[in-house]
Amino acid sequence: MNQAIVIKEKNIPITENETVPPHPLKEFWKYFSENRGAVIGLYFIAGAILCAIFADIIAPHSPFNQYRSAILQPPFWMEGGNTEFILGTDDVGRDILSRLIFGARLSLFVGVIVVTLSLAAGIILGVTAGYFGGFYETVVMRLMDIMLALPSLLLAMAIVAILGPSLQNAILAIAIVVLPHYVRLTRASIIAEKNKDYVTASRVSGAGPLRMMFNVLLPNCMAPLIVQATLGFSAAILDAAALGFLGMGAQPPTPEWGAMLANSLQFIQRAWWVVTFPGVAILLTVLAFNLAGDGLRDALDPKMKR
Amino acid sequence: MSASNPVISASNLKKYYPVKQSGFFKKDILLKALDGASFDIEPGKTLAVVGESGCGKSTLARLVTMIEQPTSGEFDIAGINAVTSGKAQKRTLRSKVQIVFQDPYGSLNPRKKVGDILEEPLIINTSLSRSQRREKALAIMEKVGLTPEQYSRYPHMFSGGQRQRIAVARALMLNPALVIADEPVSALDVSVQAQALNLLMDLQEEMNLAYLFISHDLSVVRLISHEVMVMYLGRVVEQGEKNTIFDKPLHPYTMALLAATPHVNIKSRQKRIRLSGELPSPLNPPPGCTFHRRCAYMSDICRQVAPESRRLENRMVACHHAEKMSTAPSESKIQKGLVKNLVDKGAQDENAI
Amino acid sequence: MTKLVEIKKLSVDFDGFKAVDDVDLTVDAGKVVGIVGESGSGKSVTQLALMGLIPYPGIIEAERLMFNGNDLLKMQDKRRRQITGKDVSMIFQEPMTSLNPCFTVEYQISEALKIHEGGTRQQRRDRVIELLSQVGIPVPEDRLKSFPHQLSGGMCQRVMIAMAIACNPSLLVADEPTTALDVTIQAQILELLVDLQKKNNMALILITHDMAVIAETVEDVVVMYAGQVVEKNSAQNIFTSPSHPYTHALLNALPERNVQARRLPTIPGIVPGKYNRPKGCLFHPRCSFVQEICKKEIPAYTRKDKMAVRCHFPLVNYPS
Repeated sequence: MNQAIVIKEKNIPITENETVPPHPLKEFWKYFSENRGAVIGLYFIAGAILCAIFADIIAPHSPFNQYRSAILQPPFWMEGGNTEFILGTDDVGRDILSRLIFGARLSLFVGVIVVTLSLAAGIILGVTAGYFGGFYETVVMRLMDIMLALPSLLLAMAIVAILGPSLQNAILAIAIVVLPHYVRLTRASIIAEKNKDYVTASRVSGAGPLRMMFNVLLPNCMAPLIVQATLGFSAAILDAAALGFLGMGAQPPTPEWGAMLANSLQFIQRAWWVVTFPGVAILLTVLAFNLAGDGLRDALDPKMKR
Repeated sequence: MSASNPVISASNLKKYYPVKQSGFFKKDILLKALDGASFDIEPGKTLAVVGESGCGKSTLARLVTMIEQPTSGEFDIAGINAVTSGKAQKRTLRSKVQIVFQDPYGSLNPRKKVGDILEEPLIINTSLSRSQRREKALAIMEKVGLTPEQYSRYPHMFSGGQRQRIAVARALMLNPALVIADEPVSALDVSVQAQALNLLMDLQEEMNLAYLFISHDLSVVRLISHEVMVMYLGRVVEQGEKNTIFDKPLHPYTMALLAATPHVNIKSRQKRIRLSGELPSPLNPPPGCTFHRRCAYMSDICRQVAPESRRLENRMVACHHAEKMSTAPSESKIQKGLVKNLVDKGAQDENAI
Repeated sequence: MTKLVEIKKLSVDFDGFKAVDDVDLTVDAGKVVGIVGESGSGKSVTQLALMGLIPYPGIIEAERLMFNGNDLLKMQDKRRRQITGKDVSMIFQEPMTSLNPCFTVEYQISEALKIHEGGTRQQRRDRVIELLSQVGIPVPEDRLKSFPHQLSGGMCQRVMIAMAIACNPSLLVADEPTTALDVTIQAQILELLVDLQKKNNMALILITHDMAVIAETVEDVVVMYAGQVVEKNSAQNIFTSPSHPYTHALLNALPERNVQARRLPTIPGIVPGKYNRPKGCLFHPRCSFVQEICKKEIPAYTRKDKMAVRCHFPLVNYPS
């Protein structure tokens, strides 16, 4: 009798298999694409990345070549401009469009390096602080609090001042300055996840601390980190530009957007294009990253979902 | 007591947590989450732990799974002392004890596929190859009623009942001797609950598993358990064979618990014993017998002396007046007495919280 | 007997998913009705629809939605809120989260009083004390200034009930009021609810998944499955001779009815969700009495005397 029931039950097809809820990636795209701004931002970022990769092919001129005959030439649609220099030239006759295209390479490079450095260090510090807790956590978190208490640009300038002005040092400085955000975020999500049952289940199976931290816990804390990293991209670009503007980042003649702004500040009355276009480039890129980051948050953060 | 060796045998397990008091000069006080629990479970048997929130059920689970160390007391798993043994030995013991949680949504890692969830214990504890692990996972999945296609699905694609099957499968991956089931069916719907209970009972028969079954639902406990341990505020108040306890409870708390459980069958309904008052805070338990403020049989001794657990009519019971209960003429009389006594006691109790 | 609530052919649609599907429900004044069903059966959504609390993107459709003689379908939102806010109250499953942790007990209860009844500060305070003692909180004067986190779960639920009955509602909807509570506390709260219902002569709708709670507390039972009412009957009859196969199977699956068995009769399969709603009778894939017609046609909700059932082949005197 009993046996019969057992067999009967096992043969019953489990109907829910046939209709499975959509794959997570598909669902993600559904939520992401609902936010039009985010999609536009994403396209802009893709365009910027293409520009950066194929800068050599796209750019009409070398970013360093000085055309002595065309100093401070206006953009092509203005009187005195021509299509050879679409966005005009700067005070030593370099093509602004080409410099902007090569500048995209630098800016994105800065963004990638800063985010990678700070994310990696932030995750390691945050995960260990959240997982081990105790005295170690107190030390790490208070250190981060101190860093947060200083104005970030000031701190970055101080670090650059110690290391010497160069693009690499600027990147390093920015990475250090944004570190606390990642540490705090990681630690908070680790602590929230730590007491869930699946974590205890892994502990009962005998998982060691390394496995617990990076294999079990971390993947479940990635969503807010991805969002923060995207937003951090724009912050990094902005900070790099600011340092460049102050002369503590990329050094001339590097075609870095912030440095371009700084070098042409004196022409703002006479030749507005020299100042405007790098500024617009910074603005659009940062805006694109922020929009895409917002869309990511909508799609990844379950609390924002309807 | 019995011929077969118990899978787990615990004696006088205690766990106290220090709790910081607010205020600068106040000393930490001890929260007695579990204050002395002793039991044996034989292979193929189920010990049910019953009690309300804060009674120490979950603390007991954490001790037995070796997530936490007991403050005092010992327990053996398969004859090896699990408290004092070394690191390597603990590792092997750990694989003998597995756990199934209450919440089927929180207990599975949402970022891992079913296959990875099931194989994790194998990766940690054995040196099986990838294909061997897969084979084993599939075998267990079949056993708990999952299909091979589900191997590479994510937990969010499953319903609550099926997730609980996955959780059971994970617990079985290492061939444990003892499975701790922490309210495994209370988050499930009635129709699914029956499936899950059947699965647990089938697996027990098939694999000769011992269960430590934690639950607040007495009808489930009555179905699945062999022995019952009733706890109140960290202490075991009554412990014995299922039928002994359910047919004739001797501790007033057990009686109240049985009477408070609602029934569908009209004939099994009892007159409600109204336990007035709330559970006291475990931080500040009443002196003497912890139950005395809600108890109808309370006398002076209950206020002062905590009753020792003693053997009476085939069970262990911790009550000063257990003998009186056992000779009490009829159940209805007891209950009348209880109700009458409780009316005036409720007020004092709630003030004391 | 006046009909307090009358719902006919109510459907609530969430983006193509019918959370509530063709539901009829009547509650007479001063009666206790229990709605029992598994998760996702639409038992809570029905009540939210009555209160006008369906969140976006839910769409309510109904042939008739009456409360105390007022047609809620034709009414403006503001008027509707006035009626349902004063005459209908709700208590929820989680007592700890349904109270606002930032305010004292007194403040939260007198808030409701202020909106609907007015009165001076002292009058309101007296009324709060009266309410608290009505729900069995000892020495209510001392509890006025307590914050929710200082109270236990059972106490919080009592405060919630005090809030709910503050304006003498004619209908109290209790949505799983005891699910989060311990057994002994559950018994106290259920007793309190029924006492208050009798004393204040209000109607009570008790929503729960627990058959046993329903059996011990209510007069009429409504069983819901996948958004539909499948059976309605008196508590006496439904537990001794259920008419719908689902009710029958659900009762049989209770551990309480199988104390000495080592195996429980189960209902195979799972409750249909958003992606797998069957055609015809919603229960047919799991039904042990299934016939061809069940797979094609949705059975009508038919009434007979005081009971009603939605099944092509209702069980008659089938032993459970």
